[in-house]
Amino acid sequence: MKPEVQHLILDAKTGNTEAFHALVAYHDEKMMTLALELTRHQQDAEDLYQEVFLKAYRYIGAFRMESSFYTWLYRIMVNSFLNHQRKKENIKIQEPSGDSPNLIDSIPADAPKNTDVSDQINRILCTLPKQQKTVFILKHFQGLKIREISDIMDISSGTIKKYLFRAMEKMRAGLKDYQYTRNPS
Amino acid sequence: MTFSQKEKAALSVLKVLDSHDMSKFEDDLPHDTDLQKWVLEYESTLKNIDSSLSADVSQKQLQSQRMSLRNKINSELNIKTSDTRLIQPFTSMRQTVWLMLSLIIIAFFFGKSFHKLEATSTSKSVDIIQLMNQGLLANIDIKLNGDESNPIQLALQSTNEIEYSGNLKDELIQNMLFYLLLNDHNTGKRLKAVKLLEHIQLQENGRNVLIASMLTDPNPGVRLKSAKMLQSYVADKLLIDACVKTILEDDNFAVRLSAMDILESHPVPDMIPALQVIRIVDENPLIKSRAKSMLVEFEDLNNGKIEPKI
Repeated sequence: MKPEVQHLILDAKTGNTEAFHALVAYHDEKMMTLALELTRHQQDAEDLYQEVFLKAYRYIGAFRMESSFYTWLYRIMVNSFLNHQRKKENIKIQEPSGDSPNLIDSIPADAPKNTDVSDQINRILCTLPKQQKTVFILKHFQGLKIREISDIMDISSGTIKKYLFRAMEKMRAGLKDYQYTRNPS
Repeated sequence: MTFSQKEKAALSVLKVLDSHDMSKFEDDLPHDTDLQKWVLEYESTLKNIDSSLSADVSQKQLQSQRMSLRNKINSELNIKTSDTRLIQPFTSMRQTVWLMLSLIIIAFFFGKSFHKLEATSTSKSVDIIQLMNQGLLANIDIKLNGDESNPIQLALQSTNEIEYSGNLKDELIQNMLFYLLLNDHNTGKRLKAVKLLEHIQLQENGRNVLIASMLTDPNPGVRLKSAKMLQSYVADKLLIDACVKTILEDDNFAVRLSAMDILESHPVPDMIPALQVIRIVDENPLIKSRAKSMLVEFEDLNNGKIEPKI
């Protein structure tokens, strides 16, 4: 943790709101990016951003500085996002518990086929179970390490790897029409 | 192609295979064209994703969100202040923190607190300290009246329309300078605060603020000033430990040298292990040589044998 950030955190913990706002300015670009990646929706991302930093403001006194401030913020954001998703789900989606190879079954067969690869990726991301999607985004887009994701989501490294593979497999299957055609070297 | 092989191919592309699996996977890969095909598929999947997705966040959007957040936090603070008002047993229900502040401002304009520091009531001081704890005294500004001759008259203002004036003997002024030194993000203000504190002999709490500043301030100039000021205090265990930590960890040569000055004037055997380290690892030859000299003195005192207390 950079000394300046540490200094700001200590100040914010004593109730200094300006220090907290400085911390927000220091960290919020990444957090907004993550919010957009998770929600795929501008307004939802902004709501998530506000919720995360308000929670951070309220609970910064409880931040023990044992992890980086980013990790702490990520944890708040991921938990908030997953809670929202849970509330949104009218029907509880049961994620596959075994190592079933039929992973693309969860992508609706009659789903509209987009010619634009971005739309297709968005469509696949939206069909991923929330845990898989979160793990994939944290790993691939945010570049976090498995151990960091494990800390943030409070699940084991092995489970994270399983989620990653399932997400990758769905992506691969869903983007089959867009694959680069190269021969193995 | 087994499920497990596919999983390994995917995880290798994502660079999350552990070293043992990765080594085995790399051994298998050149001999298995199916495996190569899957690796290429996963790689191209990732390339597709990378080239198509970009969550662009504009600074304008962030500014707008920050502003919105600021408003929400301010609303929360106002509610908190109202709550505090309700639970203060020693004040009437209508006597709010803001009312107290208004009284201070009125007192300032009537010149009560500016020239008669002793007239500053304790209750007002306590309220301002509470506000400092709540972070309401952000953006404190120091205004010096006249020259810096003793006693210095100064007024402290904040964006919360708070003004308080007095001289450096005023306990509240001292507390606000401590607050500035430890909390303000503006290096210039912290430096100004520590320079003003130089004009007074601080009590133990003030000296501890200087120690905290020497250990934690992000700016070497402020740390150096704090370290130099600490030279005029009797070195107890706390100060010696702080100086030992500084000579071992501070990345600024001048700050380390100042801490070394303090240690030299109060040599105790506890500092020997640190000096032994410094003599070898410090990048500055002057500090190295001074550490060596101190060790020689200890050696002389101990009849040629250093027995560090570890």
